[in-house]
Amino acid sequence: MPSHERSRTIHVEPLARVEGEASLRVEIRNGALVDLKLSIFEPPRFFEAFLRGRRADEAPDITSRICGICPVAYQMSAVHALERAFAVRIDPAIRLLRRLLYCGEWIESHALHVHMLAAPDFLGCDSIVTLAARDRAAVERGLRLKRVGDAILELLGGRSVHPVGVRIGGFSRVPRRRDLAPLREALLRARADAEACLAWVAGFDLPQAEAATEFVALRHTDEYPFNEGDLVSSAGLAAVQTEFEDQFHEYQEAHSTALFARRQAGSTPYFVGPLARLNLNFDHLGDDVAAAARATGIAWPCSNPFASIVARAVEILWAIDEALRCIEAYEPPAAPAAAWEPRAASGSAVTEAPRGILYHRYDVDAAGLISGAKIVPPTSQNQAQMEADLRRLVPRLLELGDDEATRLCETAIRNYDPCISCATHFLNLEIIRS
Amino acid sequence: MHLVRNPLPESGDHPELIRVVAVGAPVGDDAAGLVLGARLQTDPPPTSEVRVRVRPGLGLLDDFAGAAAVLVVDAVRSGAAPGTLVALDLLAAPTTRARSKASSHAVGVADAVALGRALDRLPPRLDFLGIEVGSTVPEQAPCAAVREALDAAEARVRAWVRAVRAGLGRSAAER
Repeated sequence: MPSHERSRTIHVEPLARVEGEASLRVEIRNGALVDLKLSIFEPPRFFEAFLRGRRADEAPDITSRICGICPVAYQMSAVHALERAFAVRIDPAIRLLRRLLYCGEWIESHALHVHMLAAPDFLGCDSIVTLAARDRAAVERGLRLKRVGDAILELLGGRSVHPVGVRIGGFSRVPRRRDLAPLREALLRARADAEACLAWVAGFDLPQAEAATEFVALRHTDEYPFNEGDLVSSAGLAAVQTEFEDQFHEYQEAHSTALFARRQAGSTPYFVGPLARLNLNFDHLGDDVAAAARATGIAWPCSNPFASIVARAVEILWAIDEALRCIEAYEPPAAPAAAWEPRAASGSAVTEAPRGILYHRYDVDAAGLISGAKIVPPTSQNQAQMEADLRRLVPRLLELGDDEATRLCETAIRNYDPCISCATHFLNLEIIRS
Repeated sequence: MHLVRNPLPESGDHPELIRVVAVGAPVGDDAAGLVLGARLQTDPPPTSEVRVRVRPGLGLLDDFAGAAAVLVVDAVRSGAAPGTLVALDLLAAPTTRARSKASSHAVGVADAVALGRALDRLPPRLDFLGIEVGSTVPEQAPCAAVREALDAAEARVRAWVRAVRAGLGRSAAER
């Protein structure tokens, strides 16, 4: 191999088609990796500090503003953590509505990612606009799917971006059963779109990059996970949600304002998100969706991160079916929210954001004010795994021209649908005045 | 409190529908469009519809649908003095690709217009009124210069609606 091809520097700044601001530097010298840094340079968002001194009931609305694409995830992790702190038991109908709400977020987030960010990579397009010129029907289908997801958020949360109405104990108001009828009709129509989307992505020529990977997700005894379940992994992890900080630790890398995360045992990276969920919960998809997932030709469980786009398409289909089940089973509760009283307590929870497990912990004082908060988003947890994937690509990068190598690195990062604005919210602030 | 509405948009074109879409984010001066939109919703220009959208992204395509003319109002950053108003004919603007940094979070008006053009989903008339920002600090209200520009911006919106309505009236009379 010519010597110039054995020494390469690939520097992509900023990364295209990921949410937020990030850059990637890969330096290869004489065929050996010298330096690899995925740098997040989004300004820290200070949300963990914002929450200190606020009332506990403000946490859902404050944290939902961490992200405009996955606000429901933040609301869900917040309310479940605080309900655990205050020993609040929610009505089964509220549990159902929360699952329906999360279905809406998964559908709109996955549909947007698949069509706007990921699919162009696999079809040789530089953007959704170019993709629209090449396959207008696919883009129109993606927009229809996103709109259905948005419709769920608007119905239950008042609006699709930063929905309001989620509160500790339930919702500020709940729909009547007949209010859900238009949604049901829209979801039935969307199912064909979801099936077509899955068949479409299943036909993409995915790079092969299987590797030993620890996948981590929630697992529930009876259902595909949203808000409940234990922490499990493909390496044998079995822990309750409150043991999250015993199992995973966050740390800072000098080149990033977003924290990284590793397993406490072994200090190894791990993988969260749709591929992890699918690998660890395939038996909870239901017969129809499981059959559709097998029909893609992928052997599940799958360790190829490039199959994440297929996992998202499977979850779109599953979420439509789950939303229909929730609507069918829904009967309005006696009250929109359970009563609760603040007290000095701590509580934590893990829920499955579109991009993977999202951990919240709150410490509340006797006045009901938050004295401490910890938020670990999925993108932070995936950063170390993203870098591990990129390191494994180095031999392949040597075989490619600069543009192709850059595109492959970007695609590898976009497998995780990183939500960088979510991943940069930490701040340890000490003020010394003299 | 939020109102439960039918979340699905109405189908069909309305040849006489004039729509103002005020967009923005609740982040400092980036909320200028939202503040103006809220004002207009309390006293809409006659014969027009006003929508207020927080970070609509590609959802703007739904707001383009079915109207004869759409005016998008948003905060802009061009380096001009805060509070400066800028008017654009988005249909006449050069065709631009979605920005290379286009992402699910950062989809803006330009991206929606570019995609709308590719999908033939732009209205017959699509204009833009921008309000130059000063800062986008979270949890802060728009700065004084932006607040002071809102009266002028509101007047421009109302004048736009009158002009467009007059033009539509002339076109109808000629048919």
